Amino acid sequence: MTALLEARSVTKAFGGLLALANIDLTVATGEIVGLIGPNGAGKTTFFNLATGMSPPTSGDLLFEGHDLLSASRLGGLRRRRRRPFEITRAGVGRTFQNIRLFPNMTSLENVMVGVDAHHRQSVVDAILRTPRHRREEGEGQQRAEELLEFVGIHRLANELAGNLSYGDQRRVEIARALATRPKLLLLDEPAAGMNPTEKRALVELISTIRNQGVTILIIEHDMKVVMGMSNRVVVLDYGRKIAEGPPAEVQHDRAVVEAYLGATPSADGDGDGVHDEAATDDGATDG
Amino acid sequence: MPDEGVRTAMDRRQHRVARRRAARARRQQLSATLARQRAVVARPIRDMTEPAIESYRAVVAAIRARRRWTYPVLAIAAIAVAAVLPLLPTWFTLPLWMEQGLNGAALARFALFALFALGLNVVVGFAGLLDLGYVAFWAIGAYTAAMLTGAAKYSIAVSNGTASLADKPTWAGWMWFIIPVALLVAVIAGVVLGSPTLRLRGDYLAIVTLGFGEIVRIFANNMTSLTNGPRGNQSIPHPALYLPGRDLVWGIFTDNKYYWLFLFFVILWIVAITLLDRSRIGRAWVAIREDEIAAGAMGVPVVRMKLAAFAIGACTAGVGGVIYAEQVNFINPPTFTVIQSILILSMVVIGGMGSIPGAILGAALVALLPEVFRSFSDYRFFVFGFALVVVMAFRPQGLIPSRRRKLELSGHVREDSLGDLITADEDEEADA
Repeated sequence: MTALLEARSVTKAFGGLLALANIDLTVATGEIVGLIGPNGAGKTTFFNLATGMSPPTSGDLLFEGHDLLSASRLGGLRRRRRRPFEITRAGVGRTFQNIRLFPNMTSLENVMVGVDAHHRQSVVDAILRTPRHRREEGEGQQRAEELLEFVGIHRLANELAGNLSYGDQRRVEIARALATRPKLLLLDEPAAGMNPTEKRALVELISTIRNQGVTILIIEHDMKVVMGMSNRVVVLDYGRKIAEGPPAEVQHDRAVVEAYLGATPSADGDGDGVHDEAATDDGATDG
Repeated sequence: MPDEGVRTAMDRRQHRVARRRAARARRQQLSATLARQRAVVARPIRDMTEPAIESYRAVVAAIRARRRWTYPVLAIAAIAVAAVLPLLPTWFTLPLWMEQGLNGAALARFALFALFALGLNVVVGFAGLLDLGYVAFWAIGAYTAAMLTGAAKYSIAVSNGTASLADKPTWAGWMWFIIPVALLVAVIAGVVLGSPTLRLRGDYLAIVTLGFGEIVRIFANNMTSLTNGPRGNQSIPHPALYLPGRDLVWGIFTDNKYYWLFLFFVILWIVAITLLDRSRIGRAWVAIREDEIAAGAMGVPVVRMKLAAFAIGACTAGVGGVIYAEQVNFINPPTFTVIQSILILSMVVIGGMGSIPGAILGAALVALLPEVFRSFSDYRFFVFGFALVVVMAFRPQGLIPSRRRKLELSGHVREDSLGDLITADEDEEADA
């Protein structure tokens, strides 16, 4: 397996606050990687860097071996920052922690905005209704409907996204991100606010997505969800990477336990019980 | 339905189809029952309006069922009605207030502002960019017409006392090309203003555009060698169309033909903007309005799309400005004050942001109401202002708020696919 996304000592500082400090992170093609850590650890900041929404203070991000965040200008003489839409077209899709759908558009239109990422029709095409326009609109709507069906809410296609339930909005967001044909999908707490049944369906959905060849980097607080499906887990705390490895190993990592439960000299006590339970769950899922 | 253990895939599919049909029938039955119950509960209140509502629904349903031809027919009927409006006072005796609203000059003013409202609606309503300097593009269109027809040069000569009547600009057939030229100039002006400023958001953008509007006006006021400054440009020729057999010559500004000329462009723009709205471009605009960051993350080229909205708004005003200059014959900087921008904005807001019929209705109200209330003499602006306040107090979303168009879905709906990524598989296993 080759590295799809590779972060090389990425640092992001907000004034004096180091949100991310020298993070090295590799996501291989076809993996599901969990990105966990306490609140404020810098997980979402990493997503924002990887989608071009804010520039890193230092460090590089490579996507398929090429620089993700800048493109050559003037025939390779100078580099310029790539805008978020270009990074999306390059193959990085994302969802947001606090759902960011377009509330006054229907779910179908929301997904079609994602499909449009690879469309080329211009103002002239749209006004003259050229063949290109008609082909893109037809194919776009069909693909958007297929995606809504894939995430299981085709029947809500014509509802305004703002009127949908929380879980359904998350599904639309995933469909919209998939519509941009990502090679790497960044999911920011997709299970937040879902009930156990919905979570189960979500886990199933995410592994289906992976099986279709999309690599996934997922931020999640629900340990059951993230430990159950990740191939590898990366743990951040105060902007530093404190652990990395298979879920079973990470769960017993002393630094991780401390980060979540506070520094305990013996690294024993309440925490162990919780983590043991998580570990058995994990074992069950694997088996 | 074979009961023995082995089932073919075909059987399973038939089984599933049958199950789904039954489920659909049950649902329909349930919703029918619910509707009956609801009707019973609501009857006492709705009794009075029931027949009206029913007949309205019947009409809507009839139109829906035959929309392939009813929509074009309705559109042609609406155009015909709009076109004969200025002729009504000559055909019938109308009350004074109606006559005041239906003369050529008032209607032309309405159609001009309808065009502006359509253009600004793209910027403010669709893309969500608050533009308070829209009048600048109107001025740019008007001054382009004045310069290209030679009226600006002639006016400067008149000011210097060196003009002779022979220099007075006249209309020639090729002058129609001024419209596309002004369109292009306005687009360029829009892009020039837009590229540095469209990275700003909300209030900041409003302030910058407000400044731009004033800059253009002050520029026209002070750049005497180009625009003749505050003395304005006179003798801008009226348009004419020399057709084989019959010449169409536009007269002074009350000529009904100006209204029809504006109406032509309004219709053209309605069609073009509707088509844009129902395309990738329109979706991108609404996405930017709703959530700019998410739009960028979904592959919408945000700055480019904002520029497109700005340029389309600008060229609309540019075209309107050319015909306006030709109609009124005389332009000077005080015409293009910030209050005009605010008026056009209020048309968009009153009609309903992002709604095309709303923009037209807003223009009708804001442009025609002061004419209709002319009998109130000085109080008419008070009445007009009061009407605006009432509208905004009771219908803040606008008179005809925009509604997202429901797309016709293709038939392949898996009705019970919700959450069935798991349960469907379990069913399958259970079946096997």
